[in-house]
Amino acid sequence: MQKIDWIIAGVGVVALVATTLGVLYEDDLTGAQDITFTTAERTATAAPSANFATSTAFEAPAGINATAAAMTVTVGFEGNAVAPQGSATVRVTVTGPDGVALQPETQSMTIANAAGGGGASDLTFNFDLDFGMVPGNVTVDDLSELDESMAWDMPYQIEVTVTPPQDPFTGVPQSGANYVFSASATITESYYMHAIVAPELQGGA
Amino acid sequence: MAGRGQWNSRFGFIMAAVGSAVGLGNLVRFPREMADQGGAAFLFVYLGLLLLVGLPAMLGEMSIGKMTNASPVAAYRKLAGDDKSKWAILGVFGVLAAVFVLFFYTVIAGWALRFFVESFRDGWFDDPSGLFDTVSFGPWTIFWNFVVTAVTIYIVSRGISGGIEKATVIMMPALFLIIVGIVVYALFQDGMGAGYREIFDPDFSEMSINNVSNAIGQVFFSLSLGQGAMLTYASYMEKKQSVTKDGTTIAFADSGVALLAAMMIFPVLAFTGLLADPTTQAQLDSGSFGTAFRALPNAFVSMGDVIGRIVGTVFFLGLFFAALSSAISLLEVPTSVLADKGMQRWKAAVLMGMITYTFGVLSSINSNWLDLFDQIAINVFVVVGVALTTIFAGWKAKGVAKELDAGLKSRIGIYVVWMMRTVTPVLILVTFIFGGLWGVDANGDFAFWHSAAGDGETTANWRNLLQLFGKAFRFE
Repeated sequence: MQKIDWIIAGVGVVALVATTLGVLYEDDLTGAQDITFTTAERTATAAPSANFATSTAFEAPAGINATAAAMTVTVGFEGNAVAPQGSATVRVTVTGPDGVALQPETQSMTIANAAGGGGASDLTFNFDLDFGMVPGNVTVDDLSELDESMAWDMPYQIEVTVTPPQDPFTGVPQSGANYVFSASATITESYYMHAIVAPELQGGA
Repeated sequence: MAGRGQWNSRFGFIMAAVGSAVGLGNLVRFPREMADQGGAAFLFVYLGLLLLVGLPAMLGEMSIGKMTNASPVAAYRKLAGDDKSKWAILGVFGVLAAVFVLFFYTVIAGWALRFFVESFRDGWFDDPSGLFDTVSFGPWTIFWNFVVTAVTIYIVSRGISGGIEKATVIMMPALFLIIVGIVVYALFQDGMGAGYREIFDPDFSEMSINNVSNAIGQVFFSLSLGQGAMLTYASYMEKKQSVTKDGTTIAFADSGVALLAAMMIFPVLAFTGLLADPTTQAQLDSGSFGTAFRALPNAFVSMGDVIGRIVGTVFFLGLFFAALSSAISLLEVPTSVLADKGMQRWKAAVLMGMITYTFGVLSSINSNWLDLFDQIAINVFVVVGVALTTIFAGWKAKGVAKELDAGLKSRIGIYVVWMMRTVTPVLILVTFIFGGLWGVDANGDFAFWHSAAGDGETTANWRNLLQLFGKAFRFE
């Protein structure tokens, strides 16, 4: 091989190493955050209310400076003492730090053999939040100054509403039954401002 | 120089040179600048600077290339008449500017290609504002940067007529048809008038030394000046071709495409009802990327399922063509230097392509690197390079006026050379000093090495650059 071929091969190796390091590079400006909370245990009464098990969680991880995030909310059934088995309805509403609520998502949870303390499979809800470009506390003129120090004023808000299985005879939750549902949320990915607010080009072609 | 290659036709050369000049600066940056900085008032200033600065500087670069039939470094040496001439540093500046721009330019071209591909997967249609967040930096960006670099290397390695000319005679007419097609479609939509008012209503109160500085930067940016591209392309011209005729055609075709792009983007935003939307305004204010990859996808989605997909798909294809044709011209600059030194063209293209790709990996994973390469290219190499090149072409190089008169009935070369000697470098220097070195800050005071950031604001270049160095090396 000629000298130039060795140089090309050497640069090729450097390019390969750079690619590998680049692919392995984890931008600490994106990442996961755990938001875990548990719904309060609720006991049903004979009141003809369908939505009796409501849990609202407000979580505020410090310095939310993302412009977008992917969030997963998991809702599980912990058990109960006395209740008819059947289908519960679970509704999750997520509000971003921009104060905009996403369309609620509703899924059914099948509770098997509940009277004997049975269980149900967890439900998973996936949300893609897009907060837009500008945090509430940043004016448009400040856009060029956007960096990781900028943060939204508000936390994420996650609301989980559970409608338990209905007594087939009365149509309302069985009197005296208590249910424990749990919910947890994970921000699987956040896209932070200064990583995505790319600068205006000064030059080029 | 025998065996360097030559353009097959005048049309092929003009398409390649227009392809070099027409890029992101035309399609996205110019429309934004025009709307943001006084509408028609900015256009008048831009056209004035094009005639007084851009065109003479471009004709100077092209003359140097055509007269010497050589790549940038060798061309300055030849015209200086001394193999050890210090003027060769201008050629080095041009090559370095092209290389530094390539460190980030193929990444941006990769974004355009990715958005085009996503057109077939509902990517931006499902998430018009958010897709850019997920694709702008990271492993996939490295992949698309690799794809664009590989395509660029392939085309450059095929040679002047067999690669660059063949590719650009397809891409440039296609880009023109795409832009004109969207402009005509927008013309027939209700509410598009607000877009025309946005770009054409003159507001001379917006004009300041900072805006003039922005306009001159746009001229450099748009015409690919100071990066050796025009010089290199002109070095492959036939002797019978006229630098003045072709250069003027290229400059006005470039500006025409930029104006058409403004007449495409803002009417589209207007008739889709997004122009008055604060979120869209924030996306436009955030710069070229916010405009191309956030505001416009939203507008395409607002057009409806079928039309929106069609318009969006062809727009991103056009954006990719514009960026690719510019990347090709930039890679040709260092490739020609090595090829002129006797290296096989394909090896030179592969070597330089791999080097620019490797640094492009940094731009693919962290925006500070992209910003740093951009700032170094424009603030260090391009401005100084263009000013000194016009001085070189005007004062030092012999025969420039004669070259400019070749193929013309009238003798205008002497006037253009006079411009290169006086008006052009003085204007560059004045805007660089008062808009670049000594910018007017937000309080109306002159501040050292500030540049206009729009709306009369400035950013401190020296501080930005130092901060960028720190941030980039810390991978913040």
